[in-house]
Order: sequence, then structure tokens, then C-alpha cells
Amino acid sequence: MMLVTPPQQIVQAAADAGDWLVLRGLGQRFGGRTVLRDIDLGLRQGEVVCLVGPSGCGKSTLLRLIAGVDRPQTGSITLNGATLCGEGVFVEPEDRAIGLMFQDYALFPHLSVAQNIMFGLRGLPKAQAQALCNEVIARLGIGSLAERHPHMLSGGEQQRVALARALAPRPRVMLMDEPFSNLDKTLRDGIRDETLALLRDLGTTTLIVTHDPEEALSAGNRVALMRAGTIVQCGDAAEIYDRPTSAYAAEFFGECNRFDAVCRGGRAETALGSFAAPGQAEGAPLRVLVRPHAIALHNSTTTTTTETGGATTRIGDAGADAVVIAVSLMGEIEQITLRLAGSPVPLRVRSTERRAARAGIRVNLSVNPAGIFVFPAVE
Amino acid sequence: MTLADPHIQSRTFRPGSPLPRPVRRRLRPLWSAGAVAVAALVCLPVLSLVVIALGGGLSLWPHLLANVLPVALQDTALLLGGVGLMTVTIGTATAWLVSAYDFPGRRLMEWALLLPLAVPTYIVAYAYLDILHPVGPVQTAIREVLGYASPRDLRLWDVRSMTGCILLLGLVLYPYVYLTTRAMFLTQAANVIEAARTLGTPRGRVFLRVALPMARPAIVVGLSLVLMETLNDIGASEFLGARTITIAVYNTWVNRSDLPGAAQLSLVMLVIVAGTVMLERWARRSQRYASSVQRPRPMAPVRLRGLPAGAALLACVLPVIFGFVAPALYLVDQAWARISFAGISPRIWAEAGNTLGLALIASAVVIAAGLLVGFAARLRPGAVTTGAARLSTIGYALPGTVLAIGLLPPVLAVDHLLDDTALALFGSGIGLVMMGSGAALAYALAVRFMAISTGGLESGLARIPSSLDQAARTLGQRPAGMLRLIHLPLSKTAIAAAALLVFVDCVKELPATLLLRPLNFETLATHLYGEAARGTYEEAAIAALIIVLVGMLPVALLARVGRSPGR
Repeated sequence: MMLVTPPQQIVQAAADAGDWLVLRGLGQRFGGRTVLRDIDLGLRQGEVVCLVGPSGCGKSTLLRLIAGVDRPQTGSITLNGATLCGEGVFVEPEDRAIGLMFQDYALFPHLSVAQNIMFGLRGLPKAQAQALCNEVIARLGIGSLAERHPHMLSGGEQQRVALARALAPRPRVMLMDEPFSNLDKTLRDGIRDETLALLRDLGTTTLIVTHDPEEALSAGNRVALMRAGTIVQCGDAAEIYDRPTSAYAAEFFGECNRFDAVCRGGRAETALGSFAAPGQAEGAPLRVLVRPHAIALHNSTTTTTTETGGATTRIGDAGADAVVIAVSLMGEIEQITLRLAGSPVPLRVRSTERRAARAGIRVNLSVNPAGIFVFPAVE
Repeated sequence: MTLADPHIQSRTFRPGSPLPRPVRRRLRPLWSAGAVAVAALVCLPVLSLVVIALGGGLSLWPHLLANVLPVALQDTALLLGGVGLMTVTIGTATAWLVSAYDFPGRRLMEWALLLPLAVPTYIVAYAYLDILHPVGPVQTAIREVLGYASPRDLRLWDVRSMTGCILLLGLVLYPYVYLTTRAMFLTQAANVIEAARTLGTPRGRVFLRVALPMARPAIVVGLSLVLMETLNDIGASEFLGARTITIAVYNTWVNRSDLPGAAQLSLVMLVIVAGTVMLERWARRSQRYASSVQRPRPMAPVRLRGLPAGAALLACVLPVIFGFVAPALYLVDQAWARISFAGISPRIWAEAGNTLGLALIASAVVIAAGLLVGFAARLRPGAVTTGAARLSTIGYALPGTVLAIGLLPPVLAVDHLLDDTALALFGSGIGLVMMGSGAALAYALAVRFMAISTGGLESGLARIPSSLDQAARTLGQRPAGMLRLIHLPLSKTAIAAAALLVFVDCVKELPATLLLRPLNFETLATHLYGEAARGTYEEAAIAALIIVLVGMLPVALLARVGRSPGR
């Protein structure tokens, strides 16, 4: 099988020598099932990285390995140059100074908010622990909650307390497992922005696990995409969205229109038009993915005009006329469903521009090449 | 000093230093080792029983086969069958009545039906022996009504018979069936019964067609507990003249001093015990399939009025009167008569103290061992700790007599070893330390009641999500600290409940106490046994009354079992 991108580029998650937290070749099996395989990842100090993937891809397991509550079967983890596990060494979680925040917050139900926060400061002199606790309470604005017990708190308050508790001992790395998914949608964005601002402000190296692609793209300095126990791509948000290295990555971060094609003379022929397929073998089955917002609609009468600048490919003359089936307004954007000649599945187009398209009218299509991805059909 | 200040020294981390602490040797395998040790100590009596039995030869068997086993097995079968039938009938019927119907007094009966649990088998037998004695209150009253002058003129039924034994054991053991079956009706029945009614089953047939088949696993679980208690009983059978295999084991050892013979008979008994355990396991497995209803909903009871209501109330009141009220009133009356006549003798005080001390020590041992096993399973989940947890509970099925016989040889071996060592080191022996101090007895009680502690703690710990463990660890607590700061406080209630149940069972226990107590060491239970065996009725009623009062404590606890919140 040939890959669009050479393998070295896929493993760009692999760590540099200067990285703060380094994972190398981590692997984990549970009862014959491989949960994690060959995980390489490096986090620079102060960086926020989002680990994203569908549920069951192993991202939470990875977090547990870093925290030390589970033991990897293969591979190593080093923090600031010191081995946490691997080569016969295993540092217990309580000795790692790595903070872990849970999806369900895991607040101790029998302790008050202040006692929960003080829990991680037990080894310190009393005055210093109290000062740190007060500091973090003030910082998160939860002073009025200090004497309450967890069951008396709202979801958002619990989230803040859990964050305060994890931050109080000044962890060297902060691990967050779906930290925002238990919050109401209305609260989520605000609390997320607040939390990230705080983490950046403190310079805390953070790894956030999420299943939400939008959250992953917006929250982290970098995004690591996982699938079935491996990291398939790692990079900053723009890179991973604009230059996906696999059909999986392309579709994970945004719905795409799919076309199956065969490589002929270095091009992929589809119902939507003919696209360049660089590096693909002649006759290889291909999958062409087109982002819904990369397609533009034009009145069918303007078919013959040619766009200038070369950024847009007009396909009208290739017969890529389409008939509008439905138009639905989804708030900020409008989705138009079209029937494309020669394609059994409807084509979806999204645009922020409101146009007077109606069901039944015939249109011409043009596609922005930045939204077209060509991959081998077999992954 | 602020959170963002890079120079603040956190407990575990100073920026720039490679690792805050050297990597320590892990102590967690000690937890597993502890759990395995507990399991081994629990299994020791069974293993030693097999060893003694195999070492004893077969010389005794002609005698056993000819004179002992036929009667013992027949009487045991009769007793188990009779008590089983009686407890299933009373337990299931009353459970259905208080669950499916509403009648005046139902709320009261719901928990009152548990009261006979407070009366140990040997106490109910002791009480009824006197109540139904030819010159006792009942027969005297009957004769007076019918106009006869003396017992010789009218021979009434003698309670000292197999029938009497079955009736009396059934009267105090039916709550086991009632408890499990009622819990089942409360949590499972509503939806299924409503479905059956919409499918055309008449209300009157619901019990036989739907409820009874559905409750079968719960009934069998209760029944297996009843059978284990019946096999454990030594007092009632002996007072009432039933020559069960339990009595045969006891006599072979105590009266014939034949330990291997007793061990061999015990093995026969273990086969029966294994049967009841398998019965229970099977039933619990089937029960698991039945409990698929996600949100238990109690069924709406049908309101009864008039005669049916009276009949239902009577059906519930009778077992309570015969199983609890009558014997308890008798004990109160006798104890009061004795106390007003002679006060409470120092002997009773001393025995109460012995009982209390023994039960406290045994409960502490049981709870500590249960915590060790439960925490080990929590810290090191896996086949070893799970297996240890399961094995540590086998004692609940071992009749006290069998347990005592299995325990004696290893305890004596240790005692002799200690004695010889002391003799060699200091020139004088120290006697049999474990037997003499009561340590052997505490050990036996701990083995017998470990299941209560392990079971209670397991369900308590299961309610603590594992994310709390991980949170505690990543916040810098060692396993021991985590257990002390998180798990112990959070399972406080479960521990207290288990401790109470174990304590009360230790106070009530008779056979093992009888066989393993140090010389001249009497508890309330052994005092009562002694007086009943001699046929003297002096202070035994006071001892029995104290035991019953203590036994009422867990009834309050059990009354809540299976009851959904807010009901």
C-alpha cells in the first residue's frame, strides 16, 4: 500500500530532545486486545496539547499511563529527562507530581472543598499549604464554596474545584480527561476559555483528552489525533485541518463529500470533476474527499466563464451540473443538498453566504482545491 | 508566593531537580500476601480435617455404619427436609402477603417478621421445652380445661421429638427465606406482575404463575442459609432428642474422644454442606439473570378489608408470636422471677463479660482481616486477590462443630511447639497458650464469620469509584494513606454494619464456643447449654434473655435491606 505522505511525516509527534514530557513506544494490551501501540509523543514545557479521537481509541488509557495509575507493557515515559517508567523503573503515581483531572471530577465526597484542595498539599508545612490553597481558591474565584461539600455544588462549580485541587500542588504536567464534557453546553465554552487561559498563564504543561474535534482544534497549541490505539497525526490546528495525512484525519475534523475513483494518468476522475492525485500509482483505487464549504454554486447560465487566478476550478463544462434537492438553514451556515449527475449519493455544500437557491433549480459547481484531499481507498 | 512563582517548593517537585524522591521499593505485594494469608488461615481447618480423617484408618467404620450413620443420616435428612419445607412455606407466604397486599398492621409486620432471627435455635428449644413440658403452663392449662388432674391421666404430644425439633427450628429460621424473597418481590416484581396481568393472568393466579417461579432463586438462597443454620445447630437437636449427624460428630469427639472418627463423620457432613453451598451458588447465579430491571419499582399493594385483611394479618402474626413473642415473654418472665428472687449473680456478670470480650475481639479480628482482603482486592485486582477474597468466606458454610474439630490439631501443634520452645529457652513450659487464652476460639469465630465482613466491605468498597483512588494517588498519597483518608471514611457505614452483625453472631454462637473454649471459661451461650443439658433451670433464662436482646440489634439493620429509599 502506498501512502500519500511518507511515514516520517506521520510520526512528527515523536519527541525532540528538548521536550519536557516524552513518550516513546508505549504499548498496552488488555486481555489479548491491543489498546495502545507504539505511542510516541513529546510535550514542550508550558504547551497545551489536545489528544483527540473517538471513544475507545485508547486516549484515556494513555492518560492513565502517564499519570502512573496504570503500567504500560512496553515503552517508556520520561519527564524532564528522568525516567518515570520503562527500563525496569516505575515511579508510583504519588511520586510523579503529575496532576490528573477526571471527567466525573472524582471529588472526595466526605471532604469539604477546602479539604479536597488541601489533600494534595498534605506533605507541606501547614502554613504553606494553607497559603497555596487560599491562592488557588482566590485564583479560581471559589472562595464562597470553600466550606461546602461536593454534593452541594453545581456541575460548573465541581469542575472548578477539581481544577483547583489538581493545580494546587503545582503539577509538572496536568492531565485532563474530558474535563468539559460533563458541563452544560451553555457553560462549556466560557469555562473552557477560562480554564485554558489560567493554564497558559501558569505555564502548566497540559494534555487534554477530548472526543470533540472542535474543542481539540480550538483548545490546544497542538492536536494529536488517535485511532485504534495509535497516534495517526500530530500538529497544530491549521496543519491538521488543512493538511490531513489520511482520509480518517480529514473526515474526523469535518464532514466531507466522498467519491471513489481510480487513478488515471495521475488524476482522480469523479462525478464532481478531475483532481490531481500526486504520487498515486496508475490504476490504484482512490478516495476523494471534498469539504462541503470548498464547493461554490453558480448560476447555470454562467457556465462558460472562466475564473481567473487559478485558485478555483470551474467544472461546469465537465458536466458537473447539479440540481438542488434541499436547502436548510443551520444558523450561521446554510446547507444545500444537491443531486450530482453520475453520483448516487447527494452532495452537501455549506456556505456562510445566504443565497436564493431553491429546490429544483439547476446550478454549476466550482471547487476550491484547498478543500480537496485524495487518498488511497484502502487504509 | 504565588501559584505561578517558579521557585516555590511543592512537596514533590522542585523545578530543575530530576525527580523529587528516589524510587522506593514497592510494598504493595504485601497486601496480596496478607490477603492470601487470611485465606490460608480460613482454609486451614478444612485441610487439617481431611488430614486427620485420612490418618484415622477405617477401624471405626463398621461401628459407624452399623450404629451411627443410618440414624444420623436419616434424622439429618428428616430435619433438613422438614425445616426446609416449613421455612419456605412460612417465609414465602409472609413475604408475598406483606409485598402484594396492604392490610392493617402490614408496616409493623414487615419488620416484625424478622424478629425470630434474634432467637438462636438452642434458645427457642430451651424455652419451649419448659413451656410445653408436661407440668409446664400450656399442658397444665389444657388439663385444667379438660378436667384432668395429672399428666399421667392425659398424655399430650411431647415436644422432645423430631416433629418438635422441625417446628421449633422452622419457627426461628424462616426469616432467612422471608428476607431474601421479600427483597426480590420489592425490587423485581412490579413490572413483571403488571405485564402478566395485562396478558390476562387473573389477580389470584399471579402468585402461583408469576411471582413464585420468579422468586425461586431468592427462595433457594434463603433456603440454603436455613439448611446451613440447621446443620450448624447442636443445642436444639440435642435438647429435643434429634440424633443428627451434627450430634454424632459432637458425641464421637466429646464422649468417645475419637478425633479421627469425628473428623471422618465431619467429612460426610461436609458433603452435605457442599451440597447446600452449590445450591446457593446456583440460585445466586440465576438471580443475577433475573435482576435486569434497571430501576426497581415497588409493586402497588392491593388493599384488603374485612375478613381477608384479618386472615392476612393472622398469617403474619402467628409466626412472630410462636417464633419470637412467646419464647421472649417466657424468658422475660423466668428471668424476672429469678432476678427478683436472687438478683443477678456475679457468675452471670462474669459470663456476660466473657461473652462481650470474646465477641469484641473476634469482631475486631474479622473486620481487620476483611479490610485486609478487601483493600488488597482494591489495590491489586487480579486472580490472586479475588481468589483470596472468595476463599476467605468459606467459613460461613462450616458448621461450628466441624470447624472446631478441624482447627484443634493445628492449634494444638502450635501450642505444643510454643510450649517446647519455652521449655527449652526458659526451662519452664507455658502451657497451651492458644487454647488456654481463648485465641483458638476467637480464631474459630473469625473463620466462621469472615463472610459477613468480606461481603459487607466488598459491597461498601464497590460503591467508591476507582477515579477517587487515582485522584488520591496522583495527589501524592501512598496506598496506605489513600485507604486511610478515602476508603475507610467512605465505607464507615458498611464497616459498622458488618461489625455489628459479626458481634451479634459471636454472642449467639454455641457449638464452636462449646468445643474450643478454655477450661472453666463460660459464655452466656455455654451457660445456657450447660443448664439445659443438666435439666436445671436456674439462671439460664437471664443468659438467654441477654442473648435475645443483643440478637435484636441486627433486626433493625436487616429491616432496611431490600427496602427502597423513601418507602
